[in-house]
Amino acid sequence: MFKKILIANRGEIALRVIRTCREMGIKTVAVYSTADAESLHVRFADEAVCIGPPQSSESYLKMSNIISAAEITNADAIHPGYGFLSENAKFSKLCEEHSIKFIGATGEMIDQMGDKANAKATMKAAGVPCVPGSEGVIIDFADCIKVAIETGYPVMLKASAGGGGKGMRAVWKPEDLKDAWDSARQESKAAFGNDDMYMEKLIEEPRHIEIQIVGDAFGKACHLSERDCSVQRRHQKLTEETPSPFMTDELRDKMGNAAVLAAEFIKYEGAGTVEFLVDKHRNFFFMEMNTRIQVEHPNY
Amino acid sequence: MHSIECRINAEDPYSNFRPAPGKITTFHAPGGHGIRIDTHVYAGYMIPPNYDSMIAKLITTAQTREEAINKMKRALDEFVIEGVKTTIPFHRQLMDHPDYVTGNYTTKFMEDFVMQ
Repeated sequence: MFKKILIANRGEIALRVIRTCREMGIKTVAVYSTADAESLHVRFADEAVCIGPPQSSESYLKMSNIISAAEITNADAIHPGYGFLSENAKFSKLCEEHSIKFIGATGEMIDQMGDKANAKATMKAAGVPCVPGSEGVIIDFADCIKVAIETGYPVMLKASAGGGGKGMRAVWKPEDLKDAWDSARQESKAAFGNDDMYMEKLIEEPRHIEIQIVGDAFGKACHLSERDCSVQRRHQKLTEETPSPFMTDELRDKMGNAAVLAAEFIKYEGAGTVEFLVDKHRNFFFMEMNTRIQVEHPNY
Repeated sequence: MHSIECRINAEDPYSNFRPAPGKITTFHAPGGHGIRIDTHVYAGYMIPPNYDSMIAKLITTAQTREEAINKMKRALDEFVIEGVKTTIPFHRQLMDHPDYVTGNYTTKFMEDFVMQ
């Protein structure tokens, strides 16, 4: 058991960790920026160390300052919370090098799940369903026709350099593909100076449903059912609920098994979330994995 | 059982959810059975502009979805935060939205949502 944990975070998550530690008889160290001197996490922790000015880059993201704070207070573990350094492979490794337990995923696990392309490749290898589409950039229109058939209509053409919906076209039937291909490339060229396109299956009436998982240190994982997080704005969740109103027992079993498969494939340890998109036909596709404690916790 | 969580942010839902940092002058949290609040703010707390705008998570738990929604409406009505704009009015409207009430919503839901 840890004797003293440093919480490398602020706000409600820092409080949540401090409260649990107090109940477990573990000493706590808060770190804070000068903007947070009056915060509750600073008052409720047994010790507090100022780690820098308000800008996150100079405080809550400043690895050397946080490691130093852990060393001068003799903390034997660091809880990163969510956001900030919680999914930072370098920081996880740095803690290990300093013989401080990082309460979260190892650097290797974060690397495997960290960037989207990596995560997708890993999950494909594990046999977890991913959004079908082209392998990278589409070579030419002949390739585009072929990939569209393999992917299955409806499909989404997307500009590699894209953003904000530019260079993006939904295509519902083969006869519309040529027009979409030409106009999306033109638009992309004009907006980004690059007309590289890739393709993904269009997810009809998508719902964001995620599965909470927990893994042990021996390669076993279990899931704790789902959360529906479809009410979101610019990828920021506004509400969550569980169970999902769209869920069936059969789908829960299938998605739960896929999430456990994902976690066990990378020998995931600790709490994590496997996010899926679910279409109107109740097909589900791996989106990403959050290798950290979840923000949301409606439980039933 | 059913649980719902609303993230209460210091943002103005009537102005495109623009962040609204500043000093909280009044803070009264709802209470009662089946209600949980996780927050780090209090009356007199200054929300710094440097970080995430989430200031509280309000969670209701009840036997059914309908009861959890009713409980959430009651809790949101009881929740008083003054001094800064918050997303409480948004959540209150959401809980009455026909598509939310029937559970018929997708990730496109917010594209068509208009504050009353």
